[in-house]
Amino acid sequence: MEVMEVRNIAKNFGGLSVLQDVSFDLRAGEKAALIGPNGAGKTTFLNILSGLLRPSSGSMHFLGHDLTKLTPNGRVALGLSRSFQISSLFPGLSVFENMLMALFGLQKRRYQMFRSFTGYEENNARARELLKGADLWLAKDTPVSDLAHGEKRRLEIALSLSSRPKMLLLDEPNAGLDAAETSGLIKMIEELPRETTTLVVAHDVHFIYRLCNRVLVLYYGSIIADGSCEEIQADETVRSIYLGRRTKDARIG
Amino acid sequence: MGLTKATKGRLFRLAPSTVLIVLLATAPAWADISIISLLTKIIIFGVLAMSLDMVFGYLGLWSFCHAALFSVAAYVDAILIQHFGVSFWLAAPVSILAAAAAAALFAWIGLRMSGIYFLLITLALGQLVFSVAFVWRAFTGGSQGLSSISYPNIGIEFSPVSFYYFTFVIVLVCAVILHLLMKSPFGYSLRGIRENETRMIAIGFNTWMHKFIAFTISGAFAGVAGVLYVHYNGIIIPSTGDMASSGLITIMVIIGGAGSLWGGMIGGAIIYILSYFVSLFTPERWPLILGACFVAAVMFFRGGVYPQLLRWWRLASGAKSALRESREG
Amino acid sequence: MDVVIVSVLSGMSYGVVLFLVAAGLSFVLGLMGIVNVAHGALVMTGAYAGIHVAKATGSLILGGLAGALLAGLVGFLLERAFLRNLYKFQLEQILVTFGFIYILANIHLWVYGSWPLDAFVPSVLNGSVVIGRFSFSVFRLLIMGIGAVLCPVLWWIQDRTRIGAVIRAGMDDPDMLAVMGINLRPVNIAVFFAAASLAGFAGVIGAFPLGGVTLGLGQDMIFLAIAVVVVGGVGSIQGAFAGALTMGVFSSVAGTYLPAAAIFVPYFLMVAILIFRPQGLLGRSEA
Repeated sequence: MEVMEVRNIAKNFGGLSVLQDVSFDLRAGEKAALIGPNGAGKTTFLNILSGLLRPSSGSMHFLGHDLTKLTPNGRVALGLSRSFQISSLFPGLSVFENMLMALFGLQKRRYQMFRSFTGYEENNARARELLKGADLWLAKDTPVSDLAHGEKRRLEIALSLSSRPKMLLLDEPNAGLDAAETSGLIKMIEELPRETTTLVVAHDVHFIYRLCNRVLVLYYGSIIADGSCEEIQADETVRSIYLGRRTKDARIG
Repeated sequence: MGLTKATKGRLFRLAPSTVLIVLLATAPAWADISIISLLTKIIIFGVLAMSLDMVFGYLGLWSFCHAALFSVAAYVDAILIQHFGVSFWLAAPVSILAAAAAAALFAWIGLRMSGIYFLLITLALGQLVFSVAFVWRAFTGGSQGLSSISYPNIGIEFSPVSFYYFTFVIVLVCAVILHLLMKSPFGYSLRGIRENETRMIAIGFNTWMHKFIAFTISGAFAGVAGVLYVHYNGIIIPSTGDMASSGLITIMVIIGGAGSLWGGMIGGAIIYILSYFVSLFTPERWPLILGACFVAAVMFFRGGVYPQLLRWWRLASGAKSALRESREG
Repeated sequence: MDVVIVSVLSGMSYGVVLFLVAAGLSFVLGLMGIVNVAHGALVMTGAYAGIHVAKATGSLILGGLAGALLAGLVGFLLERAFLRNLYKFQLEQILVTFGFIYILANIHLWVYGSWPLDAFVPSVLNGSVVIGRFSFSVFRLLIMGIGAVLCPVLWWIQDRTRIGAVIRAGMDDPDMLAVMGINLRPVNIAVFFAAASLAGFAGVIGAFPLGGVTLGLGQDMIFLAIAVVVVGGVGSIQGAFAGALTMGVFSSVAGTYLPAAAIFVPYFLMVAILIFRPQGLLGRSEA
């Protein structure tokens, strides 16, 4: 069974058609990249997959469950987690508290009203483990608003990993990071369990090469190419999109 | 003394609250009856302000109906005791539940929207309570309200001083419960929702449920204040629950410091002490001064008095990272 | 049936007054994003001043102008001195203007005393006129006439003039206007002044259907005006008109059958609209 089945997803905003007909399947353990020119609708598509936006038509199935009516937090409970293009953290809380919050997210004890937030040893230990993996343990008491950009990105990813997701959606995880910081990020993602399926929105070719074995190209609302990294690199249509050369036949798929 | 830095830090942090509690506990020793009465009123409205702070300061919901929830409890208590001869032991919990139920209903209707629309819905619902109280003369006494409500009939011969202690104990219990609540996972979730609701959803929280539960609990505490109030004041009238009153509670929370729990009580203290002095000199000008308080609170006190006091206290005692700690309130 | 017709017509005249008050509030909210809770108090300011002038000069027109001018001036000062620093802080705007309801009411108490003020009814408008089976108050007919004239005029300004286009564009995309070199600042101030003046004028003529002016008018009117704006939709003349007439007629008809029910009509309408059609009857849906 496929982990993710996407069928004919379309999204219109009033008269503007952002996504026209997106369809593909992902198998367990696949590491896919979603690329395409700016404005192609990549973030919109991730928002639809994660539940923050409703598609105008089409369907999605995750581990056999129909996602259409499912709330965003319901999808997280099923094992679908995401990170945001612009770091989405809790600025007034410390790094440690941010991590704990993510851990409580799927636990029943998030409704607990009389024990202290920091009083659960199990969560504290796991938070320590995750922060160490993100190289943020030393900064654990720093308010997030005081973090550097690179640190925020690592925390951003770490938060989305904390729920041990079966599938991870990463929206331009290395945005604004230099080479060293990007390496650190790649290390974090490579340490994920092998069965974790990932769909990464990215622009950096080297980044994609390191992390992904499949590339999907989104161009003006549809997937126009889908294959391995080498196949896509060689694809005429894709090259003309990125390099601007005119192409006579634009093949779809 | 061999105190560690951490312990010293803790002591300094607890000192202001401890001083406050000691002052309040020993009030009859240093204050005359009219001050005791004023203090009773201040701590009762302090609970109401804290209940609003829970959803306003911590959760970030603009609720304009807390005075109405407060008056629901006050009215139900008065009606049960006066019309139906119910004992205080039954009337009080039922009234608190009534306020919580009203809060749940308001939340269920209003949480479909956020921000200013939530404010408008709660404003409308709060005014609705006011109108019901005005119109349902048979039970609520209409515009005259209900009066001659005595101290709770629980076998104690109450006097202003003993009622003050009764109230003080209840208020202290409420404050401790609220404090624990805000330090719990549930409490932190509320802060998380205010800081970044989208992320909370993205990590698995059902934020609607949290808001709903928080609002209901907040209503219950508003109800506690309402029950205490009606026995303190002896009278309950419709305008105690109107939008002007709700606005006033919001101002108290802002002046005192939203998101700090104690702030609400301090804001209330400032308003009522001010009103006490004004009533001694120019009672007719009180609305003018109250209006000026609204304006001043927003233009000059937006951070709140309590966080500022805490900052000064910590700077004065030389504790490190004073600013960061004051954020925890 | 006759009873219903009379109450509908009287509800319409009440609705026109609500329209005059709510239209300004709606535009200020739609254009500047400002919730001016003191808008109702401006109605009171205009009413007190205008009625006194009318009684002194015997002219309702002069009274109306005086009320409009004073209310406009107070509104202008309020915006310049306070609200302009609170741009985008809606909760703070509400609280500050709420404080001004108290301040203005108390100032009026100081200046005018606490007795309620009767409407000024010039002798020419006194009495009723007979139309068919019905006997209808002349003043109420005049108010409906004013509404019948002002609404299309304001609508025409909104939809067919350049200034109206600028105002509507400013509601959707102020940055774009700046890019186009149109300075929205004087437009905003002018709209605020016009809204306040309209409210003041409404106070002078509206005193009649409202049964007099009291110090509590500020609070009463603002709640009704907010309800009208929510029900009708923010930022359009037609929305304010639809909301005001709906509110006026429903209140009047409900009140005829069950006097106690009239007071609840605004709440129910407001809650119902917020649940089923949050953008209002004729409001523009947020994209």
